[in-house]
This record gives sequence, structure tokens and C-alpha cells, in this order.
Amino acid sequence: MIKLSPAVLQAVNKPARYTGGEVNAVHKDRSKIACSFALSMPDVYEVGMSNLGLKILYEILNKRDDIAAERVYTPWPDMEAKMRENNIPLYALESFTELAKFDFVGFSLQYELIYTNILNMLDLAGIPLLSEKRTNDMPFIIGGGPCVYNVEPIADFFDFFIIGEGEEIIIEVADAYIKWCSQTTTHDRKEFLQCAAAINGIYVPSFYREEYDENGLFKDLTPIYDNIPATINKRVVKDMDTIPSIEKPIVPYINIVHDRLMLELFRGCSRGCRFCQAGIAYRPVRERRKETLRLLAKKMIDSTGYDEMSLTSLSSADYSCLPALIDELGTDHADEKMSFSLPSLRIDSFSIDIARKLQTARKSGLTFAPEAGTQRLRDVINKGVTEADLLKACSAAFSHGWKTVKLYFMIGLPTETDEDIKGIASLAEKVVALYKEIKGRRDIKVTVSVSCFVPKPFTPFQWFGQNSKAEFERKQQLLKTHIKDRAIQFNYHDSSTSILEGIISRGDRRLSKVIYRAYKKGAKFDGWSEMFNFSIWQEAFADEGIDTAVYNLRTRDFNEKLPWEHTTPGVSKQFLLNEWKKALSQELTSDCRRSSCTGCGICQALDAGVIDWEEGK
Amino acid sequence: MNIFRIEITKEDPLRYISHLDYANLLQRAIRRAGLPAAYSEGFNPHMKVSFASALAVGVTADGEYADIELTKNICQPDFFDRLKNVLPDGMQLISAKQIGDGRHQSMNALADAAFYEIKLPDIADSSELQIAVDKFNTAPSIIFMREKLGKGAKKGHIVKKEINIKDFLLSELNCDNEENTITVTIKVSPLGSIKPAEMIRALQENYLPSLDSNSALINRKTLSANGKSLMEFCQTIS
Ligand code: SF4
Repeated sequence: MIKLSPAVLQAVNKPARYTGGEVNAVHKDRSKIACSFALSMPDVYEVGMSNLGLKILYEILNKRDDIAAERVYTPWPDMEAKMRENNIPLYALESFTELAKFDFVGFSLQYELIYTNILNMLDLAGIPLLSEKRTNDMPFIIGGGPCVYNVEPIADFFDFFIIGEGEEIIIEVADAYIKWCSQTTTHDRKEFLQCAAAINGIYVPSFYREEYDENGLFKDLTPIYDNIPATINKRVVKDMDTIPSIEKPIVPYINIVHDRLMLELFRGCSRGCRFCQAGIAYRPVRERRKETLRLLAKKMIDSTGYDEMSLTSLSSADYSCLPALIDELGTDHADEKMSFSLPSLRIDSFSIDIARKLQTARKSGLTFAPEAGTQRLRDVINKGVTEADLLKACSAAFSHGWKTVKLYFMIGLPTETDEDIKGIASLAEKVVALYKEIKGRRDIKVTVSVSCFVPKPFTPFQWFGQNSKAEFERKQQLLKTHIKDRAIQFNYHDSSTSILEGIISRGDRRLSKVIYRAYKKGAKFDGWSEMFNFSIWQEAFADEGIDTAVYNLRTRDFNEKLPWEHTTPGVSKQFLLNEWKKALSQELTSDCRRSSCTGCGICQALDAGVIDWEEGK
Repeated sequence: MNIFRIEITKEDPLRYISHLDYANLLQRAIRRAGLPAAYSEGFNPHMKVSFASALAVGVTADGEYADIELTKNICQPDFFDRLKNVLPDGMQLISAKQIGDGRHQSMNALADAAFYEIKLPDIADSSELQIAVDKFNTAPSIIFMREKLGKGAKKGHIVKKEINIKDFLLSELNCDNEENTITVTIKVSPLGSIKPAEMIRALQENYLPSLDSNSALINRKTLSANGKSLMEFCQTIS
């Protein structure tokens, strides 16, 4: 057990990040435990504690008497320095047990820019970074979360990955481990990895060998044992009403990024935006019943004392019973001054009505994501939204008193021309003009936020060559010169993080060496702009002789085997290809949620189905 | 108006949280207890809870005080039990009293003295501590350079201000060489005060360079007004 001295804690910023003990944290007698997990989001406490997936797994694992799940986050550099200086190994927040003494250390892989933090954490824990170097007494390092749809760039560091939703499979892994422990005579890690690989949805990267062709392009990845599957489909929870969920979330001592309760209305989104990986990764749409949600809400509110709850989902406004749910939650908790919010709004007047019900939205202004500046490009990406929709939604908002609107766009989308960029400016101007027309005043604020598009695996744009850094910068400047109205505020970011994400997200196993090297050169917290240093990464790529353009800038051939195809959300490649072709001809694909199946193949591959509680269905 | 004054602790598990976070913790506990708390009006209602002081990060207290306003009358034993049962580790309810009709003076303005006990890390030569404390006590003034992050126009800059520690002390430093602790009473006033950590730093900088002042554990034993506990300033309702 680690004991932290006051000298260490007094010397660091926000010591409560490192001391645990929060309300609803679960403390177990470790001598009575058959299997232990350290669950981590490799970012600072305030970010990690806001992660929904880990909260779910924490409760599900801790419901079992023979399993303990604890938490660990990335120490901020001030604490890291103190830990290294005083030889304090990385520990978990519940029992202050060293990470190296756990059976499993699970990392939630939210985005590529946290990979160096994982290496840093393993190093701080005294665990070898490469899975092949780990001895039998060490924990299994496992990964899960959105990045599993291409884990090849970090394959060398992990013992195995969980593909898809973790609620059921995490228990299967624990049970397999408990059983293995009671039977094994060798305690050989490989032996357990064989057991793990037999579980549907587990990917053990060391059981596969990759091949490259004479031009150095990825050719194939094949299992080295006969009993190992060539492709691993994601796991999905078929019924969101019966699966256990969060009832007693931990209430942190310090303010965290999402310092409110999260009620997950449904999983999945089938609107079919062609740039969106989550839209494929979490299909099919599966709603919870309103009654289930009310019950979950009550349990969470009673057990935490929080006064804010976010009704989360990929597109919460699509929940079939949303108005009724909001009314009923309001009545259920009328005396408690609860405020409910939606993380995002759809672009229509229905959403404005919803926002009016949720008074909190008034404080923060409204956020819409048209994503592209012209109708042509919005049709390419299948964002089923027109200019008229946006203006209608805005006019409803303005007449109800809102005067701040945030608009989100992307640049670097396939087929984009300068007209599309200028279209962003003119769309924002139309919103300003509309306000003046309705209110006769000018006190409107429109924020235009523009991000750089990163093509992602398992989307119709997975073959598309990303824009270069120079091209992104040119487009940012072009847009800047076209935004003239003082009521419009223009936000954009340095494109280098998107470039790095673009390289890694469609990378292959050869990138493990680059990530390792960047880490060695000091890269950490790459997702934090003040800490991100692109030149470290450029050096690391150069040192390893990697031509990054092959990964991000190159338009891939449809016949190429892609490095990520073996860990799949279950979507058919033909569907993605058809969607790409439809994109080029600006043809729309409808939402399968309340109309007919559009053939992505996921329901069939996973033997699952859409669940939607819309009246009459 | 139904106002309860409570005396609660801030113990080791909560040592490193800020006053704002501590206040949040209490408010969430009140909600978990299902007490009928009163809220301010408006779009962004706030629970009506006010504190006697703002304890710094790193400081514990045997007694912190808060007034909680309720919308309904509930009896003291019920209030006490409900709140006690839901408080987090490191926050214990010591006493609760129903107080006046709202015309009571705010505790913030009442409190005038805080008595601290400071546990120092081991010092090789314990006579060293006694000598340093004696020098500290006899010095006519102890100047300390306070550094703060600037606000407003000075944001991003460090603002320095010279203060005389002695202006804020109501007692001498007393040291217990056996226990390696120092006790002292510090003046509290709406016009400003010093943090005990600043006093320890001043002791270290001037007279005890070997002291690792970051390792000092500061505990506020009492907070008082006119020599009496703040709980005694409540006018009870029979
Ligand atoms: S298989 Fe059909 S119904 Fe199921 S998610 Fe895909 S498009 Fe929708």
C-alpha cells in the first residue's frame, strides 16, 4: 500500500486528484477478492472521472463480491515529478495498491492523443511497456473504448482488447480469469490469453502476424493459431433495459469536467453522417424505456445529491419519448431543484421546444452542428439538414429570447471546394441577419467553430486522403478573411493535432515504435494544446523512417486490405463503399431508426436489432 | 425562517480540498439527506448555506460552522440524524442547533479568532525549534512576502505584497517540543487575515531554514467570537 507524505501532496496542484475516498467509491478487503481491476482513463483525474463507460464498468464489476474494481488516472506532470523523485509507483485510488499488483489494468481508449499517457502510466507503475516483456506475475493490460476499431498502432503494448460494449464481456473475462487461476499449474500468461481469446469480442494482438507487400504497404494480418478467429466482431448489449447500469456514481471532491449525473437514454445513432465513426460503431440504436430511465435517474439523484443531470446519447433529441420523459423527470424531482440538460441539439424547432423545457440551456446559449457550409457538401456527408432547417430553428430560438448561437463545422471534407468554405461564413451571416430581422437589434453573438476533418476507420470516408497541414491552414485563413461581421466570432485550432490523429487513427503496427519513441522524447498529454509538441512527433516519425503521408494523405485503393478490418463494428464493407459512391453523387441515405433498414449489415452480423419506443412501434 | 447552525469537522480525508469543494460536498450531503433546503430565486438557484470561514487547501478543522436555511420546520433530532448519516468520510456532524428568525448576525462577520495547532515534521535537533520560536516571539515584526496570482488587469502575473505577520497574531507561538507542534491564535477579520501556512513559511524563512514547511500539518482547533464558540451565538427557539 502506498502512503503519500504531506510534503508530496502539499507541493502539487489539486492534491485531491490523488487521494481518493470520495462518496460512493467502493472499498473492498483485497484479501477476499478473486480478481482485481484497475480501471483507467489515461488523462488527468477531472477528465477521467467524467468518462461514462468507466463509471458503468466500475459499478458492474464492484457488484460482484469476489471482484474489486478501482480507479487510476494520469498524474499531472507536477505529481509525476514528485512520484519519480520519491520512487512512488503508480497506485489505484481506492486501496492505494500499486498498479503492478492488480490482475488487470484496463485503459479506456477515447482518442489517439492519449496513447503516450498510457506508456507513461505503465512506466510509472513499473510495468514493462511491451506486452511480450511482461512476466507471469504482472497484470494483463487491456484496452477498450472507441479506438478499438483500429488498435494496431498500440497493439504491442496491450495483452488484449475488448471490442465493443463492455458490460457483459468484462464479467466474462473476470470469470474466465477466476476459473483459470483455480485450474492452472503453469501460471503462464499465454495460457490465460488463450482462454481470453476464446471469448467472443476479445482480440489478443500477439496471436496475429502482420505482412507488408513489396512497397511496404500493409498486406494482411492473420492468426498464428488455428483456434483464433480471423475477425472479431464488436459486442453489443441487446437490451438496454435489463443490463445493469450506473446507480451510485462516485461524487468527486473536486470539480470535474462533466460535474453532473449522466443518464444514458439510448445507445447508437443511425442518422448516417458519413464522416462519423461513432454512428457506425454504436449501431444499432437501442433505447431504454422511459420507466427504466426514471428509475435510474431517481437512484442516481438519491445516492449522490447532484443537482444537475445530463440526458446523454449521441443525439439525445432523437429519443422517442423525450418530451414526456423531461416532464416526468421534472415532476419526479420538483422539490429538488434539479436541472436537466441535453449535450447537443438537433437543428429543428422541436429541439428549441425541448431547450425551452430545460431552462438551463438558456444560460449557455444554443449549439448547432451544420458541419458543412453548403447544401452540396452537407449532402455529400449525409447531414440531413438544410439551410432552411437551421434558419427555422434559429428563428424559433431568437423569438424565445436566445441571443447566443454556436455553430460547429468541419473543414477538409471530401469534395470540398473554396465555395464550401465561404459558405460557412455566409451561413453564419444569414443567422446574424435573421436575428436583426426578428429582433430589430444587433446584440447577437454567433460563434463559428471549425475543426479539421480526420477520416476514420469503418466510415464511408475511410479511404479518403486527409488534407495536408498547409491545406488546412489555407482554408482556415480563407474562412477568416470571409468572416466580416463583428457579431461573428471565429474559433479554430492548430491543425497539427488533427494531422497526428489522422496518421495514427489509420495506422498499422509499425506505428507502435513511433509512439514509443515520441513517449521517450517526452510526449505526454498530447490532447492538451499547451503540452502538445508536434516537433517531437515529427522527429519520432523520421527516426523510425516512417513516411506519414502513406497513412493520412494517401487516398487508398478500394481493393487494399486495411490494417483495421479484423476488429470490426460489424458493418459491411460493401455498405461503406456504396455510401462513398452515394457521397460523390450527393445522394442521401435515410435513418434506419424509424424507416426501413438501409443495409449496413450490423444487425445481421451481431444478431441484434433496433429498439425504439416511438408510439405505435 | 428555519435556520440550523451546524458544527462539522474537516478531517484528514478532506484535507486537500478547497473551501468551494467542501461547501459543495456539504450541499450534496444535504440533498442526499432529503432535507428541505431553501434555494435562492432565479434561473440558477443556489442552496442557502453560508459558512463561517473559508478553510484553505491543506488545512483541517475540528470545527467548521455553517448556517443552513430550510423551507419547512423539522425537529432537531431528525435534522441531526438525517444529515449525520450521509456525510462523507472526514466530515462529521458535531452539533446542530436551530437558530433565530433570520435576524442573527452572519457568522462571517462574527468570528474574530482562530486557534491553530500545527504539527511539524521531525527536526533533527528539537532545541532548534524552541530557539527559532523564541526568536520569532521576541521579534517586533515579521515581514512576509505574500505572492498571489493576479486578478483582473493583473491576470497572469504574480502580485507581491509585503505583510507583517505579527499584525495578525493574537498570541505568541507556543511550542510543544515533545509532540513537535506549535499552537497559535490568529486574528480573523473581514478586512483580511493570514494563513497559518504563511506564518510557518515566515518562521522557516527567518529562523528555521531546515524546516520542511510543506510537511507541516495544520489543524484549526477552534473558531470563536468574543472568546465564545460560534454555536453559543445562536439564539435558540424553544
Ligand atoms: S442493419 Fe439496418 S437496421 Fe440495423 S443498424 Fe444497419 S441499417 Fe440500421
